[in-house]
Amino acid sequence: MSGDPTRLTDGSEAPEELRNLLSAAREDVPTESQLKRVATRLGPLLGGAAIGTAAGAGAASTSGATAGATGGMALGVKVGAALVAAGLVGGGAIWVATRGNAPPPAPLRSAPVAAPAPATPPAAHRLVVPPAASAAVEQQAKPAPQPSKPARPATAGDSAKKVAPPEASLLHSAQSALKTDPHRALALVEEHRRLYPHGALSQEREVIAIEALTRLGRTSEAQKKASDFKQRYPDSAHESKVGATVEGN
Amino acid sequence: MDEHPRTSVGEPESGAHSMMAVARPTLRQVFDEHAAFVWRTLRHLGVPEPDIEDSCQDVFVAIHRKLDGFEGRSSLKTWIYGICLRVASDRRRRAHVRRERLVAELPSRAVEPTQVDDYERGQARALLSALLDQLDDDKRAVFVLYEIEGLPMKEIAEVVGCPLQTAYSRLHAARKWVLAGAQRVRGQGQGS
Repeated sequence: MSGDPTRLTDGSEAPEELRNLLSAAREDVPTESQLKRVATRLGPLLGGAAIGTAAGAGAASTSGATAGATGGMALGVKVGAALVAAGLVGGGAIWVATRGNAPPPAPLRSAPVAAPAPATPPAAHRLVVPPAASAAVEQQAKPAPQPSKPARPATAGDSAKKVAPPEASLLHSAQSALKTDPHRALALVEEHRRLYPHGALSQEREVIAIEALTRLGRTSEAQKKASDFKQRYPDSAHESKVGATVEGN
Repeated sequence: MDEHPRTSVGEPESGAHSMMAVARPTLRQVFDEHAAFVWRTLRHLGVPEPDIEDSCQDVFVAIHRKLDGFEGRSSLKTWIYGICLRVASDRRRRAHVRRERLVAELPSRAVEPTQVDDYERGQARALLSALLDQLDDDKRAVFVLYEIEGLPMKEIAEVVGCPLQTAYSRLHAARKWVLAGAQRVRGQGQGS
């Protein structure tokens, strides 16, 4: 800790109000229900529990209507995205547990859509206008496939119609087809590229494409793609997987 | 919430993790131990309140992707903080484009008597946010890490990727801004 200056909370340089603010900020932790909702969204990633059975299964009912409305749908996409990644890195078994996008956790689904209060305390914490509820609505109302975040298009009213996130489910299908029908896997990957050229799962798409090409014996194409991948994503967590795929052939 | 053992998740002090092979925690362990920290950090880094939950999820998805590559060269907390910085920066940019508009005064709103504590906490958050919003990203990160999270400056320099002296300079500049802002608020309070 050596030459570090005295912190404002420990000295007299700052007025008391500021010291109190900083001290309070250290204690300002999220509520249990907020954390449980995040845990629920991450569900399978946190140890294999299916969505809806994780820690947060019962948490969203107390507060969080906003989170319930947005979270329920964003959930599918993000967990789906994460799971694609997990499947690629970890062997794919996770997908089995997560087909589960389809039945989102009951509390999220049953949360009253119009309820106004977010789980966090009521004040406008960041001086943001408009307030949380309308911001959430705005976010939900985004038109469907935007390249960067196609996974969040849903509105609260969509819950009955389609829960599988297109981006994640496309890649899920592609990944499932890899071993038995790499042609199909490749076609699905190309479909993903067409629909989501800058999707959140672009890295995962390329990893599947490289494996599909390798399985089809199109090794020079696979190697070219692998090389492009390394250039484009030099810090990717999938780099070793990509290397192993093309080198193992 | 805690059915998993917590063997090696805690952040070792700097240097305590160097020689031993890194026993990587599971994502569940990381979540149990650091989720509150991640949430709070995102908030203090300026992620709009309605976006914190999503951002928190982004952080843990990123951790999930990268955990295998964690080499223990910094403490786990420091490493996670680096991820928070990137996620917060990205989220702030998007929020700014999307809908954020700063206002000059704290919004007032009616609250139930039973919510007074929460209301006051919210007001305090808003005030602190307003003070931190004066800072650019670099200064804000150093200030938050040092003054709120209590990290030593050496680790902070690692997290933000700058020389130690630069980190000190940023802290110094950030303090000036925040102190001046606090004085202004105080003056307004006394004047009204």
